[in-house]
Amino acid sequence: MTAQAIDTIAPRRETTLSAAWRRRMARAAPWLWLAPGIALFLPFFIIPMAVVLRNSFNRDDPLALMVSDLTLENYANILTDSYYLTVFSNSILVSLGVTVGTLLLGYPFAYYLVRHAKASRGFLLWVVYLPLMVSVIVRAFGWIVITADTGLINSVLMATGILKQPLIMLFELESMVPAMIHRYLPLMVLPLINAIGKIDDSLYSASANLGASHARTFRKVILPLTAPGIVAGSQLVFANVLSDFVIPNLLGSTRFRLLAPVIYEEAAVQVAWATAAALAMVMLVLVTLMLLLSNWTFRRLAPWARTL
Amino acid sequence: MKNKTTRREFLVRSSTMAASAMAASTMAASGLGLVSSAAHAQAPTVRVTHFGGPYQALDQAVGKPFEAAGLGRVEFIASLTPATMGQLQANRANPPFDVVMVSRPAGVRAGRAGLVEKIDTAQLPNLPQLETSSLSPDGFGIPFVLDTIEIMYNKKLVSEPIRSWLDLWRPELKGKIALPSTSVVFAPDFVALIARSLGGSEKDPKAIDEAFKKIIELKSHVRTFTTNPEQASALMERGEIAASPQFGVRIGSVIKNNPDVARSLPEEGAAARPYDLAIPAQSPARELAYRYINFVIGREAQENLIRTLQATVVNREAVVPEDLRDKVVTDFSKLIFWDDTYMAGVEREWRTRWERTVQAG
Amino acid sequence: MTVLELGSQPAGARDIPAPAAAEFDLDIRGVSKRYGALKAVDNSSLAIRKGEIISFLGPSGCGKSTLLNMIAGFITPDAGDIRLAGRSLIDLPPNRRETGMVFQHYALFPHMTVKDNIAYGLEARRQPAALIRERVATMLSLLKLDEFGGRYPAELSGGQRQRVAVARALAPQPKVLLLDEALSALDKNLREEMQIELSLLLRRLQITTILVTHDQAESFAISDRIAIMERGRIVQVGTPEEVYRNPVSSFVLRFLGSANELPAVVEKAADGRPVAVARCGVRVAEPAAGQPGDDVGIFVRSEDTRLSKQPTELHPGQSGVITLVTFLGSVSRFVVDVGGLQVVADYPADFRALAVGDKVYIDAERAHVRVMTVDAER
Repeated sequence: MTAQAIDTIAPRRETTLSAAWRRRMARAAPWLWLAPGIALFLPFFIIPMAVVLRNSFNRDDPLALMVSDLTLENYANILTDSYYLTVFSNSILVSLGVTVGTLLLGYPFAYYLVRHAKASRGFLLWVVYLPLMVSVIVRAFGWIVITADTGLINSVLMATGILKQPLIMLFELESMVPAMIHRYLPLMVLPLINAIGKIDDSLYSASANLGASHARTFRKVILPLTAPGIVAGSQLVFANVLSDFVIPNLLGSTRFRLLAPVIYEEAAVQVAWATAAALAMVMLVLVTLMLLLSNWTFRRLAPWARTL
Repeated sequence: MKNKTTRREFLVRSSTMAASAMAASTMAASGLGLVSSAAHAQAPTVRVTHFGGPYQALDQAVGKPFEAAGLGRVEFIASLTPATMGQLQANRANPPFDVVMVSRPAGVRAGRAGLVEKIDTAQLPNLPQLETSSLSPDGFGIPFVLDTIEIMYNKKLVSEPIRSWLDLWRPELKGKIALPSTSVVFAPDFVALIARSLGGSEKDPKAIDEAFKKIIELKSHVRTFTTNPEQASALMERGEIAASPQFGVRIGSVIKNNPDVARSLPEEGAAARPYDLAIPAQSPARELAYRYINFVIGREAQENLIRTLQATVVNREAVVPEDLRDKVVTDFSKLIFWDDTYMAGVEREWRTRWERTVQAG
Repeated sequence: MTVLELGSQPAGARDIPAPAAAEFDLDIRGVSKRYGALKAVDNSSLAIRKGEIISFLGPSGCGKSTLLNMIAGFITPDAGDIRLAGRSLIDLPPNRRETGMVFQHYALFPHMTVKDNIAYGLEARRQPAALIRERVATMLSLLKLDEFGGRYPAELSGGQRQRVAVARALAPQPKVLLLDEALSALDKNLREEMQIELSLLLRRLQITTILVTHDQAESFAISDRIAIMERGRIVQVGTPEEVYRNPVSSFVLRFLGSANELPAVVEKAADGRPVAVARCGVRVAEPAAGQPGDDVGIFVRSEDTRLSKQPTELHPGQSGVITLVTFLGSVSRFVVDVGGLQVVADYPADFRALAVGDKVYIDAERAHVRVMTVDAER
C-alpha cells in the first residue's frame, strides 16, 4: 500500500519539481548574459582589486618588504601629507582641464560631422578613430619630436626669427596636456557623435518655426539634449586622464606630478607596495566619487532623461 | 668578362645554393630537435630571470656554454626587479624562479624579508676570483655584472671636459642639465655622490644636509627631472642638454648615436650598481642554482659577458679585450660601492626630501 | 489650361466667388523647386483667405510637403514668391515667419515638460513672463491638457502628444498654422476623433491653416478647400464637394474615393456622333472628352454604380457575373466580372436582391458617368 502510494505520488512531485526548476532557470537565464563578463572580471579585476585593498592596510618596511598588518597608517600618511595632496589636486586639475579641452575641441567637431559632413563623414570618423589605432607610445614620441627644445615647433619659430630661445614645452604641461587631449579626444567625440546623431532633424525645424534663433536652438534644445553624451564623454576622459601613466611619464613634468606615475614610483622604484596600494585605493575612490557626483548632477539637471 | 654571370648560370647557382641551404637547415633543425628533446627529458633545468633587452644575450654568453658543459639546462625569463619581487612575494612557498637577477638594494630588502636566502659561499668555488669590493656585505646575492653612475656630457656645449661631479654647477650649464627624478633609481646615489664630492660621507646627516643644499642651488640649471633614464639619453642625443648623470652602459649607446657626447668618470668616483644573482628561499633546484651562479662568475662566462653585453664584470681574472677598454670599467678603485643596508634605511627619507625640496616647483 | 489658371481660378468654384486680392492672407505665386531633374514643385500658385482651412492633398512625392516647407521657410524656392498678409516671406528665415507648424511626428522637445514646450515659442519671442503663463494656461485648457502640464512628452499618449504639438504651434499666435501629416501617426479611431476636434478648434480660432495630407477622408473632414497636387503641380482647387463631384482629371477622380475605370475607345456611331465604347460592352454616347480613335476611360464611382438584370442603355452588350459580395458595415459591396474586368458596386448594407452568380448589367445615372482622357503615363 505504501509502495503504491509512493508510486502514484512520486512522478507527480517530480514534475512539479522540474517545473519549479524550469521556472527558476527561466528567471536566471537573462543573468547568464553576464557570465562571460563575470568570468573575466572576477579573476582579473575583482580579486586583484581585493588584494590591492588588503595590501593598503599593510605596512612597508624600508629595510625589507611589505609587512602584513592591519593599519590605516598609509591612508593617514597620504591624506595628511601636503605632497600627496598636491599630487591629487594636480591630477584632478589636469583631468578637468583635459576634459574641458576635449569637450571644447570635440563638440564642434562632432556637431559638424553629424550635421554637415556628407562626403567627408567617413574620412572624419576615421580621423577620430585613428588615434585609437596607433600605440600611445608611438604618439608620445611623435609629441616629443614636435615639442622638444630642438623639435618641430621650436625649429620653425627660431628659423623664422620669431624666437631667440626655444620655448620650453617638452616635460611641461605644454606638451603633456595637448598630448592627453589628442589621446582622449575619441573618448569624448564618439559619445558626442552618438548624442548629436540621436537628435531628430525635426527638432531643429520645430525650434526655428517657434521663432528661436540658431543660438537659442543650440542653447535650449541641442545642448541639453546632448548632455548625456557630454556627461558620458567627460566621465570617460576624466577617469582615463586620472589614471594615465604613459603620457605623464613620457611627456610630463616631474615638478607637476600626477597620480599614476607616483603610484608606479611607489610600487616599482621604492618597493612600497602598501603605500602604492593605499594611493591606488584613494584614486579609485576619487574616480568613483567623480562618477557619482556627475551622475547625481546630471539627474538633478536633466530629470527628463529618465523618461526616455 | 670573367665576373659576368649569365642569367642561366645565376639561376643554376642560386637554386643549388638554396637547395643546399634548405637541406642543411633541415638537418640542423632535426638534429637540434633531437638533442634538445633529449636534454629536456634528462638534464635538470634552472629557471633564471634577467632584465630583458640587452640581457637576452645571457642565453648565448652563459646559457649555451652552461649546457654545453653538461651542467644543466637554463630557462631564461625576462623580468625587472619590481616584477620579480612581486612574484616571489606572491609565491613564497613555490617560487617560480631558481635564480633571480635583482638590483642590490632590492636584493637586500628581499633578503631581509626572507624572500631570498643567504648565499652559502662554500658552494661557489669561483667566488675568490671576484673583486671583493663588489661583494654584498649582507650576502643575499652574488654580483655578476655591474653598471655605474657617471656623467655624460656634450663636448660641444662645455668649455672644457667635465672631470668632477661639482662641474655640473658651472654657470655655462644653466638650463642645460638633466637630473633624475625620484622615479629614477639612482636619485639617492646622486645625493650620496655629491655628499662625498663635498668632502663628507653619505652616512653623516650633516653632509647630506649640505649635499641637498648644494643640489637645490642646481635647480636653476635643470632643464628637467627625468622620469626614466631613457629621457636623459634622448635629450642628450638631440643636443638639448649639455650634461647629466647617467648609467655607464646607457652612455655608451648615446655616444654611438651622437659622437659629440663623451663619458666622464668623475675624479671623486662613480657609483657602482652591482646586479646580483640571488636564490629564492624554498627554491626546488637549489643545488643547480648554485652551480649556475658559480658558472656565471667564472672566468669563461665573465669574458663572454664583456664581449656580448659590454658590461663591467666582477671577476678580476677576466681579460678585457683592447677594443672594449674604454667601454667597461677596469679600475675598481674608481668605483664606490655603497653600504646597501645603510642606503636602504635612508632611501625613503632622501627620496621624500628630493621630491619636495629638489624636484618640486 | 495652365496650372496658374487652375490655381487662381479653381474649376467649378461657382458658389464661392473668387475673393479680391486684398482678402487673401497667404498668397503663393508661381513657386517652383527642383531637385536635379525632379520638379518637386512646379510653378504652383494658390491664394488662401484669412481664416481659411485648406488641404494640400496628393500622393506621396506630389510636392505637397515641399510646398509646406517652403511656406515655413525650411526650403527655399527656386522661383516665385510667397506672401503673408501682403509681405513677402521669401527673404525671412524660418524663425521670423510667424508660422506655426505641427510636425508629422510632433517634434516635441523631449527634455521639456508640456508647459515648457508650449511656452517655447513665446519665450523665443521674448514675451513677458506673465503673458507666457497666461497663454500656456489658455492653451492647456483649450486642448484639454490641464492635468498634463508637468509631464514630459515621453510620458504622454500619442493623442496627448498631438494636442501638445498643436498647442505649442498655436501658443505664439502664428499668422498661419501648418499641419504636416499631423494626424497620420494616430490610430484610426483617435484620428477621426481628432479630425472633428481640430475642425472645431480651428474654426473657433479662425486661423488660416494649411493641412498637408495624403488621406482624402482627413482633408475632407477638416478643410474648407482642397488643393489637389500631382507631380509638383496643383491640379485642382475647390471645396471637398466640388472636387469630388467635378474632378478635372482622371487623376483627381481616381484619388478621391473609389471609382470603376473602364478602358474605352471613342468610335463614330452609325449616326456619325462619337461614342465611347469599352471592351466589356459599356458604351457612352457623346462623351465629354476624346476624338474618334482616342483611348479614354469611362469612370463610374462605386456608390453610383447600379446593377440591373436587364441590359441597360449604358451596358447593352454581354452581361457580367457577380463574383463576390462583401459586407463592409455601411455598405454591401458587389464585385462583378465584366469581360475580365472587375467592376465594384456599393449598395446600402441591407441590400439583398442580388447574389453571387447572378448575371447583371451595369447601370448608372448619366450624370454619374464620366468619360475622361487617361494620363499617358498610366
